[in-house]
Amino acid sequence: MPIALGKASRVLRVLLLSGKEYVCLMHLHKDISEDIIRKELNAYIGKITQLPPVKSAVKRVHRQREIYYIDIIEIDGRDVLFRIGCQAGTYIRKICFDFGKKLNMGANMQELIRTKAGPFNEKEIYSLQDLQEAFLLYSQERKEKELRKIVKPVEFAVKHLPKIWVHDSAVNSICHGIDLSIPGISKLESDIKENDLIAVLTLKNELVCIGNSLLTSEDIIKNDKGKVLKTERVFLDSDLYPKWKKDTV
Amino acid sequence: MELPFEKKQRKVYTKKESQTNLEYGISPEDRTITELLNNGVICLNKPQGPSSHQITEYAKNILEVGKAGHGGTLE
Repeated sequence: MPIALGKASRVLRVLLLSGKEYVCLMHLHKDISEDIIRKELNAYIGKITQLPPVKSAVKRVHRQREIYYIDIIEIDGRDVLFRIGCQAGTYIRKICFDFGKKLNMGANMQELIRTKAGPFNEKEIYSLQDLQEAFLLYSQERKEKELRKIVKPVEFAVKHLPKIWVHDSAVNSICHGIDLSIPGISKLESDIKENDLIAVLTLKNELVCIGNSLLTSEDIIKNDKGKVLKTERVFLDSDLYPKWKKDTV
Repeated sequence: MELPFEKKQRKVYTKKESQTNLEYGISPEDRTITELLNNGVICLNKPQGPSSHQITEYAKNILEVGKAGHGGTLE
Protein backbone atom coordinates (compact mmCIF):
# COMPACT_ATOMS: atom_id res chain seq x y z
CA MET A 1 0.00 0.00 0.00
CA PRO A 2 1.33 3.44 -0.93
CA ILE A 3 1.78 5.94 1.89
CA ALA A 4 2.60 9.59 1.33
CA LEU A 5 4.54 11.58 3.93
CA GLY A 6 3.98 15.22 4.86
CA LYS A 7 3.21 17.55 1.99
CA ALA A 8 3.26 14.63 -0.43
CA SER A 9 -0.17 13.45 0.76
CA ARG A 10 -1.63 15.74 -1.88
CA VAL A 11 -0.24 13.36 -4.51
CA LEU A 12 -2.44 10.46 -3.41
CA ARG A 13 -5.28 11.70 -5.57
CA VAL A 14 -3.22 10.73 -8.60
CA LEU A 15 -3.20 7.12 -7.45
CA LEU A 16 -6.98 7.02 -7.16
CA LEU A 17 -7.12 7.78 -10.86
CA SER A 18 -4.34 5.39 -11.91
CA GLY A 19 -4.56 1.90 -13.36
CA LYS A 20 -4.39 -1.01 -10.91
CA GLU A 21 -3.38 -4.64 -10.93
CA TYR A 22 -4.74 -7.25 -8.53
CA VAL A 23 -4.34 -10.93 -7.86
CA CYS A 24 -7.73 -12.38 -7.03
CA LEU A 25 -8.92 -15.72 -5.74
CA MET A 26 -12.42 -16.40 -6.99
CA HIS A 27 -14.55 -19.26 -5.71
CA LEU A 28 -17.18 -20.78 -7.98
CA HIS A 29 -20.28 -22.34 -6.49
CA LYS A 30 -20.53 -25.30 -8.91
CA ASP A 31 -18.18 -27.47 -10.95
CA ILE A 32 -17.50 -26.42 -14.50
CA SER A 33 -14.84 -27.26 -17.07
CA GLU A 34 -11.58 -25.35 -17.09
CA ASP A 35 -12.00 -24.51 -20.74
CA ILE A 36 -15.24 -22.66 -20.08
CA ILE A 37 -13.71 -20.80 -17.13
CA ARG A 38 -10.77 -19.70 -19.28
CA LYS A 39 -12.93 -18.68 -22.21
CA GLU A 40 -15.50 -16.78 -20.16
CA LEU A 41 -12.97 -15.03 -17.92
CA ASN A 42 -10.85 -13.91 -20.86
CA ALA A 43 -14.01 -12.47 -22.40
CA TYR A 44 -13.81 -9.74 -19.75
CA ILE A 45 -10.71 -8.24 -21.35
CA GLY A 46 -11.69 -4.95 -22.98
CA LYS A 47 -14.54 -2.59 -22.08
CA ILE A 48 -17.01 -3.82 -19.51
CA THR A 49 -20.01 -2.25 -17.81
CA GLN A 50 -20.51 -2.72 -14.11
CA LEU A 51 -22.81 -1.52 -11.38
CA PRO A 52 -20.82 -0.66 -8.23
CA PRO A 53 -21.63 -2.97 -5.29
CA VAL A 54 -24.25 -1.94 -2.73
CA LYS A 55 -21.49 -1.23 -0.22
CA SER A 56 -19.36 1.20 -2.17
CA ALA A 57 -18.19 4.76 -1.93
CA VAL A 58 -19.61 5.86 -5.29
CA LYS A 59 -23.00 6.49 -6.81
CA ARG A 60 -24.62 3.25 -7.97
CA VAL A 61 -24.98 3.79 -11.68
CA HIS A 62 -23.71 1.53 -14.45
CA ARG A 63 -20.30 2.64 -15.57
CA GLN A 64 -17.85 1.54 -18.16
CA ARG A 65 -14.42 0.36 -17.15
CA GLU A 66 -11.55 -1.13 -19.12
CA ILE A 67 -9.91 -4.44 -18.28
CA TYR A 68 -6.43 -4.36 -19.77
CA TYR A 69 -5.42 -7.96 -19.15
CA ILE A 70 -6.35 -11.12 -17.30
CA ASP A 71 -3.85 -13.88 -16.62
CA ILE A 72 -5.22 -17.07 -15.13
CA ILE A 73 -2.55 -18.33 -12.75
CA GLU A 74 -4.22 -21.52 -11.55
CA ILE A 75 -7.54 -23.30 -11.58
CA ASP A 76 -8.09 -25.82 -8.80
CA GLY A 77 -11.59 -27.25 -9.01
CA ARG A 78 -13.87 -24.38 -8.06
CA ASP A 79 -11.06 -22.01 -7.12
CA VAL A 80 -9.70 -19.68 -9.77
CA LEU A 81 -6.60 -17.60 -9.13
CA PHE A 82 -6.00 -14.81 -11.62
CA ARG A 83 -4.09 -11.60 -12.16
CA ILE A 84 -6.06 -8.67 -13.56
CA GLY A 85 -4.96 -5.26 -14.82
CA CYS A 86 -7.74 -2.71 -14.91
CA GLN A 87 -8.75 0.92 -15.04
CA ALA A 88 -9.13 2.84 -11.76
CA GLY A 89 -12.51 2.28 -10.15
CA THR A 90 -13.06 -1.30 -11.33
CA TYR A 91 -14.67 -3.49 -8.69
CA ILE A 92 -13.11 -6.95 -8.74
CA ARG A 93 -15.66 -8.30 -6.25
CA LYS A 94 -18.29 -7.37 -8.81
CA ILE A 95 -16.41 -9.11 -11.62
CA CYS A 96 -16.48 -12.34 -9.58
CA PHE A 97 -20.17 -11.92 -8.78
CA ASP A 98 -21.09 -11.15 -12.39
CA PHE A 99 -18.96 -14.06 -13.60
CA GLY A 100 -20.94 -16.47 -11.41
CA LYS A 101 -24.18 -15.01 -12.63
CA LYS A 102 -23.15 -15.36 -16.24
CA LEU A 103 -22.38 -19.05 -15.72
CA ASN A 104 -25.67 -19.56 -13.84
CA MET A 105 -23.93 -20.80 -10.71
CA GLY A 106 -22.85 -17.98 -8.42
CA ALA A 107 -19.28 -17.06 -7.54
CA ASN A 108 -17.60 -14.91 -4.94
CA MET A 109 -14.32 -13.19 -4.32
CA GLN A 110 -12.39 -15.11 -1.74
CA GLU A 111 -9.21 -13.06 -1.50
CA LEU A 112 -7.78 -9.99 -3.15
CA ILE A 113 -4.36 -8.39 -3.09
CA ARG A 114 -3.33 -5.31 -5.02
CA THR A 115 -0.09 -5.75 -6.92
CA LYS A 116 0.09 -2.40 -8.74
CA ALA A 117 -1.31 1.08 -8.17
CA GLY A 118 0.05 3.48 -10.76
CA PRO A 119 3.87 3.39 -10.47
CA PHE A 120 3.81 1.41 -7.23
CA ASN A 121 4.11 -2.33 -7.63
CA GLU A 122 4.68 -5.52 -5.69
CA LYS A 123 8.32 -5.80 -6.79
CA GLU A 124 9.28 -2.88 -4.61
CA ILE A 125 7.45 -3.10 -1.34
CA TYR A 126 8.79 -3.13 2.17
CA SER A 127 7.55 -4.35 5.52
CA LEU A 128 7.12 -2.22 8.62
CA GLN A 129 10.17 -4.08 10.00
CA ASP A 130 12.28 -3.00 6.99
CA LEU A 131 11.14 0.55 7.60
CA GLN A 132 11.95 0.38 11.30
CA GLU A 133 15.45 -1.04 10.69
CA ALA A 134 16.25 1.46 7.97
CA PHE A 135 15.09 4.34 10.15
CA LEU A 136 17.23 3.16 13.08
CA LEU A 137 20.30 2.88 10.85
CA TYR A 138 19.68 6.45 9.81
CA SER A 139 18.82 7.95 13.20
CA GLN A 140 21.44 6.10 15.27
CA GLU A 141 24.29 5.48 12.86
CA ARG A 142 23.65 8.16 10.25
CA LYS A 143 23.50 5.52 7.53
CA GLU A 144 21.05 6.77 4.94
CA LYS A 145 21.33 4.16 2.20
CA GLU A 146 18.62 1.77 3.37
CA LEU A 147 16.12 4.48 4.21
CA ARG A 148 16.69 6.13 0.82
CA LYS A 149 15.75 2.84 -0.85
CA ILE A 150 12.37 2.88 0.90
CA VAL A 151 11.44 6.57 1.09
CA LYS A 152 11.16 7.97 -2.41
CA PRO A 153 10.70 11.56 -3.46
CA VAL A 154 7.14 12.69 -4.23
CA GLU A 155 8.05 12.72 -7.93
CA PHE A 156 8.05 8.90 -7.89
CA ALA A 157 4.26 8.91 -7.53
CA VAL A 158 3.78 10.78 -10.82
CA LYS A 159 6.39 9.04 -12.93
CA HIS A 160 3.67 7.32 -14.96
CA LEU A 161 2.02 10.60 -16.00
CA PRO A 162 2.89 12.48 -19.20
CA LYS A 163 5.26 15.32 -18.39
CA ILE A 164 5.88 18.95 -19.22
CA TRP A 165 9.03 20.80 -18.09
CA VAL A 166 8.80 24.54 -17.51
CA HIS A 167 11.34 27.37 -17.53
CA ASP A 168 12.55 28.61 -14.13
CA SER A 169 10.73 31.88 -14.81
CA ALA A 170 7.34 30.13 -15.08
CA VAL A 171 7.63 28.14 -11.85
CA ASN A 172 6.64 30.74 -9.28
CA SER A 173 3.50 31.87 -11.14
CA ILE A 174 2.27 28.28 -11.21
CA CYS A 175 2.99 27.98 -7.48
CA HIS A 176 0.82 31.05 -7.00
CA GLY A 177 -2.05 29.44 -8.89
CA ILE A 178 -1.61 30.81 -12.41
CA ASP A 179 -2.37 28.23 -15.11
CA LEU A 180 0.55 27.30 -17.36
CA SER A 181 0.66 28.81 -20.86
CA ILE A 182 2.75 27.72 -23.85
CA PRO A 183 5.55 30.33 -23.42
CA GLY A 184 6.32 28.80 -20.01
CA ILE A 185 7.22 25.44 -21.55
CA SER A 186 10.77 24.22 -22.15
CA LYS A 187 10.17 20.54 -22.95
CA LEU A 188 7.20 18.22 -23.25
CA GLU A 189 6.42 14.58 -23.86
CA SER A 190 4.67 13.28 -26.95
CA ASP A 191 1.15 11.83 -27.13
CA ILE A 192 -0.49 14.21 -24.66
CA LYS A 193 -4.21 14.25 -25.30
CA GLU A 194 -6.80 16.77 -24.15
CA ASN A 195 -7.86 16.24 -20.55
CA ASP A 196 -4.91 13.96 -19.72
CA LEU A 197 -3.59 14.32 -16.18
CA ILE A 198 -0.13 15.89 -16.58
CA ALA A 199 2.84 16.31 -14.23
CA VAL A 200 4.54 19.68 -14.55
CA LEU A 201 8.22 19.61 -13.57
CA THR A 202 11.01 22.13 -13.23
CA LEU A 203 14.18 21.59 -15.28
CA LYS A 204 15.60 20.03 -12.10
CA ASN A 205 12.75 17.52 -12.27
CA GLU A 206 10.96 18.85 -9.20
CA LEU A 207 7.20 18.34 -9.26
CA VAL A 208 5.53 21.76 -9.55
CA CYS A 209 1.91 20.77 -10.06
CA ILE A 210 -0.47 18.34 -11.68
CA GLY A 211 -3.30 19.42 -13.91
CA ASN A 212 -5.55 18.44 -16.78
CA SER A 213 -4.32 19.31 -20.25
CA LEU A 214 -6.37 21.62 -22.42
CA LEU A 215 -4.16 20.98 -25.47
CA THR A 216 -2.45 18.06 -27.20
CA SER A 217 1.33 17.72 -27.64
CA GLU A 218 0.89 18.74 -31.31
CA ASP A 219 -1.09 21.87 -30.32
CA ILE A 220 1.70 22.90 -27.95
CA ILE A 221 4.41 22.36 -30.57
CA LYS A 222 2.51 24.25 -33.30
CA ASN A 223 1.36 27.27 -31.30
CA ASP A 224 3.15 30.05 -29.45
CA LYS A 225 0.47 31.03 -27.00
CA GLY A 226 -2.51 29.61 -25.18
CA LYS A 227 -3.34 28.05 -21.87
CA VAL A 228 -1.88 24.53 -21.58
CA LEU A 229 -3.50 23.09 -18.53
CA LYS A 230 -5.87 23.68 -15.69
CA THR A 231 -3.85 23.31 -12.49
CA GLU A 232 -5.39 20.81 -10.16
CA ARG A 233 -2.90 20.70 -7.34
CA VAL A 234 0.33 22.56 -6.60
CA PHE A 235 3.20 20.75 -4.87
CA LEU A 236 6.14 23.10 -4.92
CA ASP A 237 6.28 25.85 -2.28
CA SER A 238 5.83 29.34 -3.66
CA ASP A 239 8.71 31.82 -3.71
CA LEU A 240 11.40 29.12 -3.95
CA TYR A 241 11.83 30.23 -7.52
CA PRO A 242 12.19 33.92 -8.45
CA LYS A 243 9.30 36.08 -9.53
CA TRP A 244 8.70 36.36 -13.25
CA LYS A 245 10.32 39.40 -14.83
CA LYS A 246 9.59 40.73 -18.26
CA ASP A 247 12.10 39.73 -20.98
CA THR A 248 13.53 36.78 -19.10
CA VAL A 249 12.95 33.16 -19.91
CA MET B 1 1.56 -8.06 -18.24
CA GLU B 2 1.65 -4.31 -18.40
CA LEU B 3 -0.77 -1.50 -17.68
CA PRO B 4 -1.22 0.98 -20.56
CA PHE B 5 1.21 3.56 -19.14
CA GLU B 6 3.90 0.90 -18.66
CA LYS B 7 3.77 0.05 -22.35
CA LYS B 8 3.69 3.62 -23.58
CA GLN B 9 6.99 5.01 -24.89
CA ARG B 10 6.85 8.80 -24.99
CA LYS B 11 9.32 10.98 -26.85
CA VAL B 12 10.56 14.26 -25.39
CA TYR B 13 10.28 17.39 -27.54
CA THR B 14 12.07 20.64 -26.84
CA LYS B 15 9.84 23.66 -27.20
CA LYS B 16 12.39 26.20 -26.08
CA GLU B 17 15.83 25.36 -24.72
CA SER B 18 16.66 26.92 -21.35
CA GLN B 19 18.96 26.41 -18.37
CA THR B 20 17.94 26.06 -14.77
CA ASN B 21 19.65 28.12 -12.11
CA LEU B 22 21.18 25.93 -9.41
CA GLU B 23 20.86 28.67 -6.80
CA TYR B 24 17.29 27.71 -6.09
CA GLY B 25 15.27 24.51 -6.02
CA ILE B 26 16.75 21.03 -5.63
CA SER B 27 16.69 17.88 -7.75
CA PRO B 28 14.77 14.95 -6.22
CA GLU B 29 17.93 12.84 -5.94
CA ASP B 30 19.84 15.56 -4.05
CA ARG B 31 17.29 15.93 -1.26
CA THR B 32 18.15 15.30 2.36
CA ILE B 33 16.41 12.57 4.35
CA THR B 34 14.53 15.26 6.27
CA GLU B 35 13.23 16.66 3.00
CA LEU B 36 12.20 13.19 1.85
CA LEU B 37 10.41 12.49 5.13
CA ASN B 38 8.39 15.67 4.72
CA ASN B 39 7.62 15.19 1.07
CA GLY B 40 8.04 11.57 0.08
CA VAL B 41 6.28 8.32 -0.63
CA ILE B 42 6.76 4.74 0.54
CA CYS B 43 5.14 1.48 -0.50
CA LEU B 44 4.53 -1.01 2.29
CA ASN B 45 3.42 -4.59 2.21
CA LYS B 46 0.14 -4.49 4.07
CA PRO B 47 -0.24 -7.49 6.36
CA GLN B 48 -3.69 -8.94 6.90
CA GLY B 49 -5.32 -7.75 10.08
CA PRO B 50 -4.51 -4.11 10.79
CA SER B 51 -6.33 -1.54 8.67
CA SER B 52 -4.60 0.72 6.14
CA HIS B 53 -5.17 3.54 8.58
CA GLN B 54 -3.39 1.65 11.38
CA ILE B 55 -0.44 0.79 9.13
CA THR B 56 -0.15 4.47 8.22
CA GLU B 57 -0.11 5.34 11.93
CA TYR B 58 2.67 2.77 12.58
CA ALA B 59 4.72 4.18 9.69
CA LYS B 60 4.20 7.72 11.02
CA ASN B 61 5.47 6.69 14.44
CA ILE B 62 8.48 4.82 13.08
CA LEU B 63 9.54 7.74 10.90
CA GLU B 64 8.59 10.36 13.49
CA VAL B 65 6.67 12.43 10.97
CA GLY B 66 3.63 14.54 11.74
CA LYS B 67 1.55 13.86 8.69
CA ALA B 68 0.96 10.90 6.40
CA GLY B 69 -1.83 9.54 4.26
CA HIS B 70 -2.48 6.29 2.43
CA GLY B 71 -3.49 5.68 -1.14
CA GLY B 72 -6.94 4.24 -0.77
CA THR B 73 -8.08 0.93 0.66
CA LEU B 74 -8.50 -2.12 -1.52
CA GLU B 75 -12.20 -1.83 -2.21
